[in-house]
Amino acid sequence: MKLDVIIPFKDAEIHLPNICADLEKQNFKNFTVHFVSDHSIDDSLTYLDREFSFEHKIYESLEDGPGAARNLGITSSSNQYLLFIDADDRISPNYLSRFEQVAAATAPDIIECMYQSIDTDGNVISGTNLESFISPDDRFMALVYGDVPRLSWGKAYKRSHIENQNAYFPDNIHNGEDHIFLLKAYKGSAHIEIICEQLYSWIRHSHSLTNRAPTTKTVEDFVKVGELKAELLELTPSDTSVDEDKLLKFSRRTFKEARMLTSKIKSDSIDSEKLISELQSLIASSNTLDLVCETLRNDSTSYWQDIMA
Amino acid sequence: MGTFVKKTKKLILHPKKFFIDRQRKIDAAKLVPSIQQKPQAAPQKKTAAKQAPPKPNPNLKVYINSSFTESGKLFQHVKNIFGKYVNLHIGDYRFPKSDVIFDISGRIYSAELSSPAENNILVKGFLLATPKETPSHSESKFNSTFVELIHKINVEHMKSISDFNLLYKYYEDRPERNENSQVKYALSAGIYESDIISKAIGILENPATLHQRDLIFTFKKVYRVLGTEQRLESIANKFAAIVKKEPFPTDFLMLLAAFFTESGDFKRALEMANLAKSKDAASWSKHRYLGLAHLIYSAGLSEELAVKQDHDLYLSLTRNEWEFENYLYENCRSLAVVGNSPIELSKRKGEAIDSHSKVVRFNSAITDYPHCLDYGKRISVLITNPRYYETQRNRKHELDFILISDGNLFSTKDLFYKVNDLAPFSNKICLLPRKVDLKLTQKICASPSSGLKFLTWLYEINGLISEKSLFGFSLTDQAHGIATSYSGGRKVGLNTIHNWSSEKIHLEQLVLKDEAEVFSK
Repeated sequence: MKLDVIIPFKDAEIHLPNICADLEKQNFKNFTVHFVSDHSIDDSLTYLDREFSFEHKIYESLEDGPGAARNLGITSSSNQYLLFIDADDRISPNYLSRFEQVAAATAPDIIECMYQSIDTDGNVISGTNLESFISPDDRFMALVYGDVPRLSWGKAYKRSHIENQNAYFPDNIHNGEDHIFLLKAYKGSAHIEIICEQLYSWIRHSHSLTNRAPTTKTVEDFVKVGELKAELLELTPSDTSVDEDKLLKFSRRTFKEARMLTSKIKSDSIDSEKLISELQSLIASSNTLDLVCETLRNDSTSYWQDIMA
Repeated sequence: MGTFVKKTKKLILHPKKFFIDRQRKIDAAKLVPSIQQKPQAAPQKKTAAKQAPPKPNPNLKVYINSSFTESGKLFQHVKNIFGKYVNLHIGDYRFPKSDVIFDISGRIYSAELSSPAENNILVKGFLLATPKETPSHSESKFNSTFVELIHKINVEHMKSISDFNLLYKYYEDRPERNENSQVKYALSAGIYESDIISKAIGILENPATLHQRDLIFTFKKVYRVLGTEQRLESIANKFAAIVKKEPFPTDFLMLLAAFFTESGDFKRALEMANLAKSKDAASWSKHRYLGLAHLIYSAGLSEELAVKQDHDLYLSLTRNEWEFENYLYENCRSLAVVGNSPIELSKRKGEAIDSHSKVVRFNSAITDYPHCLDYGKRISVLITNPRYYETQRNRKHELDFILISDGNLFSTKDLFYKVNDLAPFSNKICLLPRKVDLKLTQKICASPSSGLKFLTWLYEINGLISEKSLFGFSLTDQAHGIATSYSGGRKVGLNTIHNWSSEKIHLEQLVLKDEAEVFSK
């Protein structure tokens, strides 16, 4: 079996040598790496223009954002299973071999491994919550309610499954695009296998996307992702039969995340009032989120007041 | 005035007071037990608190799938073993059934659980958990914790099911192995290889290095393998001096006395027996050895019933052994020896077996229908291990002889009771000769099976045994902890300590192959 590894990057010149070294150390060798540049302006492409012990291809994304770069990786590759790796993260030498073993054994739709979140000094900050990871609960709903992290890396996807589910990253969304891809991939009754080993290291750089101060784009992406989720879960005004319990839980989760975003805006942004006002305005004007807003307006929790008041 | 009259008078004259007083007495009686129970409850609580095992470190968590086995016994066993060292979580998890996941302070390790259970009985020969990948000790403290936990769990598992054979092999590569532990596990596993016995002798020569309990165990085992060989005799002489200065249990003193009886050092034997008696007046009837009893009785030192019984039995067993040798010699031309291996099933050899003038069988030896079709019905001699639990249920009367396969006149304790159990089935009971057992044990470096011991004796009397007179001998369908028989099927979890591969090699030297078969080869 041959695997496709997709690595989107933007100005990753300082990180690429590390991940390339990890890929060279893999004890499974039958894979192709697809490096997809998201308009890099540093010397990343120059670095990649060399021989590695593994087969690799380089692409330039025409669209903006990591999601579009990953989509280009998906459509440009053809092997049975594909895996995403972030250019600034690290993998263990048996990363690909363990995925290949599981894929060969039971041909699941999705394979997940565990990760560790590590700071740049090598200190372990956090990692996969083992009990959630091994829980037999519905993974799709766990993703909806945020019980498991919404990360596209640390997993292998069967290509035919991705194509059948039409699971691609949404266009022009730079924050939370993983959520939508994962919900599409996990929707239905996907056959999931897990590897109870911490094979992926998520390196938490101070300048990484998740640590940057929120902007108008962050706020817009948040609402857009919320709308896409509501559509996927069939919780919009145009849906004829709505699961009330699911609607309540999803609404609370969405607003809980909105509250977390406002906290981050308040702590990290210079123009916090403007951004919060934009967030309120976008939520209020979203027809797709009408049911969500309606539900929380009458809810016993304080979420509505916390965000919209 | 009697109580009854008093009470009746009170009931008639003051009925209200009668009932009030009666109720008071009932209430008071109810209070008494609770008052009495209180002091009892307190020590119970205290005992329970004392016995509570230490709680495992909260940072050591282990996850096991509830469906990992269908065996209730294995499930409980795993719960008990793991529960001693880690916080065990059992549930319906997403990982494979046979996996076990360790969470050591956030670091994750996986191992595979074996399934050492058959028919809800724990089977020997398997470790309980094996790491999927063995991490190096040096990499992190968590790695060493994981490796150490797996080690403890497996050792606990082996010990709890008395799998000394595996324990011995397991410790072969372990850094903490020392000579004492190697010898202890080998002897417990019935591994009597010459280097183990040499090391055991070395240990016995320096008794200060060993705990008294282990010292006695090692002596007993070496005595079982070497008999009264000169190497052990000098050690026994040393012990004879030590036991006079240091406190040793009386059963060991009596064993030493039995040893010296067998070695012919009667003076020292009586000295040890008298020392035991000086410590415990009842020791001669508590720890009974036939040879020693014969010596004590012949020396006129005791008229105790137990000593007299053992003396009589000693004489009768010795005489019967001689008679049985003659019996074998006279009947060797038409003697069928029928083992219990299932290899004869559906071969319809029953008639051929029964056509022999004498038929020898072992232990359970079921001859009921339909087994008799393949294994025959007649039985002239039963060779049995008195510990064998089926002997009493498999009553066979009017036997020519019963042979006790596990026991001898000198070192076997309490043989009287074992023989007594078998007395209703034949008045001719004898033992397999001690010299056959010792020679064979030293040759195959393990405790020999009853079948091999008997065939070796037969060989020593009559020479090569015709293959045509042997039935139900396979020696290949059993393994450590497993026994097979045509009537009982496969039995697992047993303490069988026979070395079947060595037995097979030895058996081939005793048997005369069918000529046609020899020619065809």
